[in-house]
Amino acid sequence: MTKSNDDFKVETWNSKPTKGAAGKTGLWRTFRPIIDDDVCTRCEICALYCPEPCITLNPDDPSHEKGRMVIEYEYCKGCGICANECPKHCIEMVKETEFLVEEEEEDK
Amino acid sequence: MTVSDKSPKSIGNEEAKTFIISGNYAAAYAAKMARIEVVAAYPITPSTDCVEKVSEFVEDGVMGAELIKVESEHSVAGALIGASSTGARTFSSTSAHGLLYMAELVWWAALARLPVVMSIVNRELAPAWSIWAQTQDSMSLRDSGIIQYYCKNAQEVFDTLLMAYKVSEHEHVYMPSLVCQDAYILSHTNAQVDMPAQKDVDDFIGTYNPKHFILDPKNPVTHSNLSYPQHYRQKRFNIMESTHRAKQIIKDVCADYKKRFGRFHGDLVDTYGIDKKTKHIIVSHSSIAEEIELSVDMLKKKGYDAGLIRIRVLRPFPDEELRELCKNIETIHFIERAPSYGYKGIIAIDTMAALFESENRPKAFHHIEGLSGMDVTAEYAADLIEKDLETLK
Ligand code: SF4
Ligand code: SF4
Repeated sequence: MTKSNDDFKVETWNSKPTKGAAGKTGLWRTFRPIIDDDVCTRCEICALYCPEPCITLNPDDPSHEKGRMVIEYEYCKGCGICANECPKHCIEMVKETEFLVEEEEEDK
Repeated sequence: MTVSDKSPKSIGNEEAKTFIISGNYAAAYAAKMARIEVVAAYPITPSTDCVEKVSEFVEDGVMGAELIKVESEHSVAGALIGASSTGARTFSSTSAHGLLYMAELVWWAALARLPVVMSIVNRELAPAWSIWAQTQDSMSLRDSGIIQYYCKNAQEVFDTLLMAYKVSEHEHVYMPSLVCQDAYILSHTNAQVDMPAQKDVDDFIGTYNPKHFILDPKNPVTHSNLSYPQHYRQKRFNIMESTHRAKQIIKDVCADYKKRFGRFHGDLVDTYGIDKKTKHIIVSHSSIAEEIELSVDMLKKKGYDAGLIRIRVLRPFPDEELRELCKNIETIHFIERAPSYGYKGIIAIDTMAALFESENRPKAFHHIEGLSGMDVTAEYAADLIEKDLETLK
């Protein structure tokens, strides 16, 4: 019988979960989700639905007794699912170009 | 080893035994004795008898397999891919349009490196509807990486299925296999099939212990996720290497089978009547080739130095073996059921490419015969060769 007397190995594609396995998905974004912290109840529904997932509750934020929802924009791809699911309708999807104007003005 | 830890409890014969059964039943018995763990099936003429027999075995409690009834052949292959990914030994049987309906997933099983084994009853494709033999259904999948065996009788179907598991599950191969037989001529014709004792089959075939990857809830991985162009070259060349290595592994497995059970049907190729004097070689396949053995005898009686090569394995293709067997011949004659429309017979195309690398390039004659199960008799085939040779006079 043919024995495995050399180091040839059959290779397959197996990936384990890792942060940003598909790259910096934030670069895909054309709309940026902005949470209105004054209306937000910190129910975490948005965090549950975010497919990336890049919304988390920071329990140490003093703005509210439960903390504050934080979006990691490096990976948020701007799909808008969070805004769609938020029961308080307090997530606004804002065009990235608007931030571009702001950032340019800051640069001046 | 299986993830479920459910030990397959198929019951084979305690002693070696002889049966008079059809090619379909020969495949079903082989599946039973190989201790298949998962079978998925959707019936299609003329392969239905095989999975019917398997479901009867399962129903009677003599086969420990999980039988999954699905709504189409596409789902058959999907179920087998899932099951094989968990490390289970899998089986199904299909034919013609059933095989082409699962074509997408045949490629998937091959590129995912899953040793699914299926019994294929080669049947002509529609339109017009036909139920008789033609090998384009499986041959048209030859570029997928799937290993393909073409058998000449029911005994070879039985033996080859057992060998196919051994080859497919080899740690350097991990590719699926099709074990093919001609519709009706083999699938529905009762013939003698000798079966070894179950314990000897167990010793030969062993268990499937995947080393490359396994779906296991305790160690989750994503299999075959989106991958970038730079990763493909290495993985695809790994398939090339495995399928090339499969040639030697098939030869070794066939030799081992012969040593244990006394039966040998050829390995990559089977030959008949070839010796040092042979000048004219007929290349054929499947059950036609068994008939052509008689044509070789007839031609020899008439003074022609004829011999036969039966392509037993179409992928991986036996190119070196063909160059060696054909190095001193004058003419080569292809008699095959399956054309590649727009060119020649599928076996002729591959054989001619192999011989292009040879110093000796014999004069070739091409015959597509036996379409949709048309009888190719020994006399008819011998006559074809004689007429070929007369054109050279
Ligand atoms: S779903 Fe809306 S209200 Fe709930 S935490 Fe997210 S942003 Fe706040
Ligand atoms: S826009 Fe999409 S990706 Fe970004 S935070 Fe909302 S749900 Fe997550």
